[in-house]
Amino acid sequence: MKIKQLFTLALAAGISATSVAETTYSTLISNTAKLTYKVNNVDQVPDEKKADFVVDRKVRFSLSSITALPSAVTVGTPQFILYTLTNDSNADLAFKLSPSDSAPGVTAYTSAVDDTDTSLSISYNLYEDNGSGAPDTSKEILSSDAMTVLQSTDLKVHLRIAPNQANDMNIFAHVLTTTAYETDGATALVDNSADKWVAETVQTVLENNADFRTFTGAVQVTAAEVTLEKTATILSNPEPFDGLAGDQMKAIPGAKVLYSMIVKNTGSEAATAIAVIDILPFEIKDGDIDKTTYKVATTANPTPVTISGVVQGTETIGSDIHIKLTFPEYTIPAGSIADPKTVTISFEVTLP
Amino acid sequence: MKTLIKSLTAIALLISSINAWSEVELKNEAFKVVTITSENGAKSEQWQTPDKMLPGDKVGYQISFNNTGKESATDIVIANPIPDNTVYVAGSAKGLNTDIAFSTDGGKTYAQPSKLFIEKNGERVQATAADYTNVRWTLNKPLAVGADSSVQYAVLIK
Repeated sequence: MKIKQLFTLALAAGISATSVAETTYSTLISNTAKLTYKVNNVDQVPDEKKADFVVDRKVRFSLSSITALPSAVTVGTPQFILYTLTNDSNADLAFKLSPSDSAPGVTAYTSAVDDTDTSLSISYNLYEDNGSGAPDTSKEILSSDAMTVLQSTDLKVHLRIAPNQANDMNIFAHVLTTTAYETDGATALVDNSADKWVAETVQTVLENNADFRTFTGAVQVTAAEVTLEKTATILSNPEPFDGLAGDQMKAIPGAKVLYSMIVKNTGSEAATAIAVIDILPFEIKDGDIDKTTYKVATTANPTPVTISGVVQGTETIGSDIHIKLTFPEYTIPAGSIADPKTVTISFEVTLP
Repeated sequence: MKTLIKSLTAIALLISSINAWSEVELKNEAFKVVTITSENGAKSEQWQTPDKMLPGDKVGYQISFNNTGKESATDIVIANPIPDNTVYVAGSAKGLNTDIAFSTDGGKTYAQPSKLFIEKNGERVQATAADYTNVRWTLNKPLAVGADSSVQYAVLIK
C-alpha cells in the first residue's frame, strides 16, 4: 500500500468526535394501542394491545485524529498526536487500544525518498488525557492492559512518538486498533445479532461485523541533514612556480593552501551545536598554520569573518601526532537540497 | 308489570351490548422499516420482522382490528401514545377511512398537524413531528361484521 493510499484511508476514517446520546441498550420501547368503539350506540369496553421490545446493544468505537496528517514531528523530541476515541455505542464499554506499525503491506512505514525502505523503527507511548488536553503520563495505555470504561463521551488519547532513528522527511504510518470489551475489561464481546430476534432479549451488534475500529495515522519526521565537505585550494606557489595560476599551481613545499570545511544543512530543521574538528595532515606543524586566517562564512553572511576561540590540540593516530583544530560551535538554519544552508570554516597553511 | 318488563328489556339490551365488548379484536405489531434500493436506484421501504432494534432504526407499528361480532362497530377510535425514547416520523401515520389527529400534550387534546402549536422559548410555534406525543385515528365509517382494517405509523428510536 502506497503512502498516499494510507493517507487517504486515514482521512476517510475520520469520524466526527461529536457523541450523540442514544437510547441505552435494554431500554424498553413500549407501544400501547387502545381501541374504543360502540355497538348499537353503546360504549364498549376498550381493548388495549402492547407491542414491546428492548433496544439492542450497538457496539461501535470511532477513532479519529484532529491532527493534520502526516503530523510533523521532530527527531529526538517526544511530541503528541491527538487522537479522539469516541464511544458511539449505546452502552458503557471497556476498550483496548493497540498500536501496530509492522504489518507488511498495510502498516509498513517508509521514506518519502525511498518507499522501499522499511528498515526504520518507531516507538509509541500512549497516554490518556489528563482532562486538560495534556497527557497523563501516569496512565499509559498498553496493548496488553489498561482497560478504561468509556461512557458516551470523548476520550483523548495521546500518541507519543520518539522517532530517534529517523531521518529528515521519513514518513511513518501506523495503525491504531480499538477493541471493545465488556465493562469488566476482560470479557470479549460476542456478536449474537445473527440469533433469532427475541423482543425482550438484548442482542449485541458489533457494527461492521467487528468489535474494533482502526485508524491509520502518519507522522513525518523533520530533522537536520548535515554533511561536511573539506577542500584544499592552492592559493600560491613559491619561486620558481610563483607565476602559475589556477590548476597549474602545484602542491609543493612552500605553497600556500586554503583549507575549507563546508558544513551543509539540507534538512528541514535547524542544526544546532555544529562542532567542526579538523585533524590536519601529519606533515603540517604548528608553524605552518596562519592563525590569522581562521575565518567563517555563512549563507546569511557570505563574506568570511575572522574567528576567535579556535582551540588547537593534538590527535594521535598510530604513532603519529597530528594537530587537531576545534572550531567554535555554530547553528545552521533549516535548508533543503535545492537551497542548502552552509557554514564554511577556512584557514591557510604553508605546505612544509 | 309493564315497568318490570321495560326494566328487564333494558337490562337485556345492556347485557347484549356489554357482551359485544370483545368482538372487535385488536392486534398491535412492531416491524423494522428497512429502505431497499433497487437495481435502478429506486428506493422503497419494507416492513420486516425485526432482527435487531438499535438507536436510529425506524420502527413501524401496524395496529389491525377486525369485527368478529354480530353487530357493526361504530365510533371506532384508536389512540396510541408515541413510545418513550422514540420520535414520530412525519407523515407516517396512515389508515383507510380514518381521520388522523395528533397531540402534543399527552393526549389531552388532538388536532391536525397544521393546527398544532407548542410553546417554545415563550413563543407559540408550529409543532413538528418531534413534538407529537400521541397519534389518534378515528374511523369515519362503521366496521361491518366480519370486516377488518388497520392503521399504521412509524417512529425512530432515539
